[in-house]
Amino acid sequence: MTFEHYLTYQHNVQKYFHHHADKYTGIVIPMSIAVAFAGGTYGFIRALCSRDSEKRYGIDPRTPLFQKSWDRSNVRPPHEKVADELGPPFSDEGLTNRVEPSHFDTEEELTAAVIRCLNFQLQFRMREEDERKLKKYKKLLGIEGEELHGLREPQFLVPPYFQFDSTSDDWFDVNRRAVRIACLQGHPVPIRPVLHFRDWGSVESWSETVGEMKARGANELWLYPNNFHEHDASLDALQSYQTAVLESGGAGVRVFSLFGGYYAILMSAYGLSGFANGVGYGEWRDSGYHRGGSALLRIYIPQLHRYLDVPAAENLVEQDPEHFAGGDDLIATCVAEDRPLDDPSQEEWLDHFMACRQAEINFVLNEGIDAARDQLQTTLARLDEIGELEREQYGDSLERWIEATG
Amino acid sequence: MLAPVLDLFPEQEYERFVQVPLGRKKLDLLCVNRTDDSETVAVELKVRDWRRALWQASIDLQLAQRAYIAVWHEYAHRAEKNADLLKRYGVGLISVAPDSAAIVFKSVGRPRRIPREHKPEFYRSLLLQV
Repeated sequence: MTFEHYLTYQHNVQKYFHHHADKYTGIVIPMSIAVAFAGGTYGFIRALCSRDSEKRYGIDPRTPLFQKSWDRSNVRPPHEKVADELGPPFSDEGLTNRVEPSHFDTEEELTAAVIRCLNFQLQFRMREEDERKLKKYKKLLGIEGEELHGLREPQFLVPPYFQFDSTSDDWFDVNRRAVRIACLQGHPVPIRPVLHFRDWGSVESWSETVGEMKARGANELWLYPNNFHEHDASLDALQSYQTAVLESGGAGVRVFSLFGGYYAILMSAYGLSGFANGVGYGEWRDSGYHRGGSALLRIYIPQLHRYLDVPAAENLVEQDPEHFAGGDDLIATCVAEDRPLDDPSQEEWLDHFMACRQAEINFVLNEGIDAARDQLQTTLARLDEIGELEREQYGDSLERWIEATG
Repeated sequence: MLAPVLDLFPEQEYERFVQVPLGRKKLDLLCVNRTDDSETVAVELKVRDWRRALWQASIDLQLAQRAYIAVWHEYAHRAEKNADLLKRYGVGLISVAPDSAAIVFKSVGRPRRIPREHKPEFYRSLLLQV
């Protein structure tokens, strides 16, 4: 069984892509980064893929940003560049107002947008080489003396996509038409559209919706519920997620989660083909988020499958170090050495996260969903022993995950 | 709500810090005894959501020796009904009226808390951020 783990690319965490190359299968590059830092992104991805021929990449155009309301009085340069690459209506309307479905009323308008979007993704590999940057990244990746291979085509192409509230709304229709146009281009690279929906109730029949995408030529899809927090999700939402995965598989379509955490890994048992997350962040995303910057440092607690800030992590670990510092990792070392959890550097905690994420994937793939549920039950029992506030804060989501996958 | 609570920790006796960063949250009030800096008291202020305040106060015990939740007097009885829970977490209760505040029961601190002196750097850096 193959389960693909993608990392969402960010400049400031490049070295983790290098140091933990064995812990992920592919890279999702936000188009805003690919255009705004073109030379650096290209150089790094080319050097990385040259060193490891198994690594693949794809570009996420993140077009829903332009349909959302946000403060456009101070548009960030990366978004201006994306709009410029995508052309109208993104470049003329999208930077001052929300793009509307009516901007794609004619087939010509939508076709032009789709072609520009796909061409950018296809042409990313054909950038003019910046020798200085290539040299820098070869050095970073420890392949200084080697001749670099040319960058291969992306693993998949993503047509422009937009968030829809239901399959009867106008945005869904634009998505559907964009997928058809993208597939008609006949590129040898698979089209992997993003189904970006408000919530899990947005799609009534997954088999019908996914079947429709397949009929248009898409044999694989990204699922992207907006701002979906696995830990806060209702039981209904979690079960709908599972239904979406099962019915997509039944329709013969491989589905991936564009943003996900441990629940996405659990969904591998139902046929999810993979998921993406960032290094130390990025398990969910609001597509209307337009500001940049890095996430605050948090500590990943593998038994809870979530991040906590330092005081909350300290509080938990000191109450049950046997369970929450168990295992041969950084938390255990801190406890053993009486080292406060704010002592390790951000780099150490990000390394810790990468190791935890791989262990989570390996555990579910190798031991199966029943063992994963048992593990969650054990954690629930430990939280019960600590106290009702901890059980309430950290246990409710785990309990819903157990029920949803039961 | 802050002013009446501050009266419980007079300036002559305590150095008082408001909105102290603690992880991703801010601790509403931190009082450090001027003559004995091992006596530190954290207070979380909430008009009515005592349970949320209690959770935050339980985390505050990472930093302070004692922690209180201060709840508006019209709602303090709800927290008082759950005194057992608060006491299990070592958190005390303050009832706040427009012109005064009263300690309903005292904080005893958390039994399994790591002593503050084990984390001097953490403590110092937090105070530096104030």
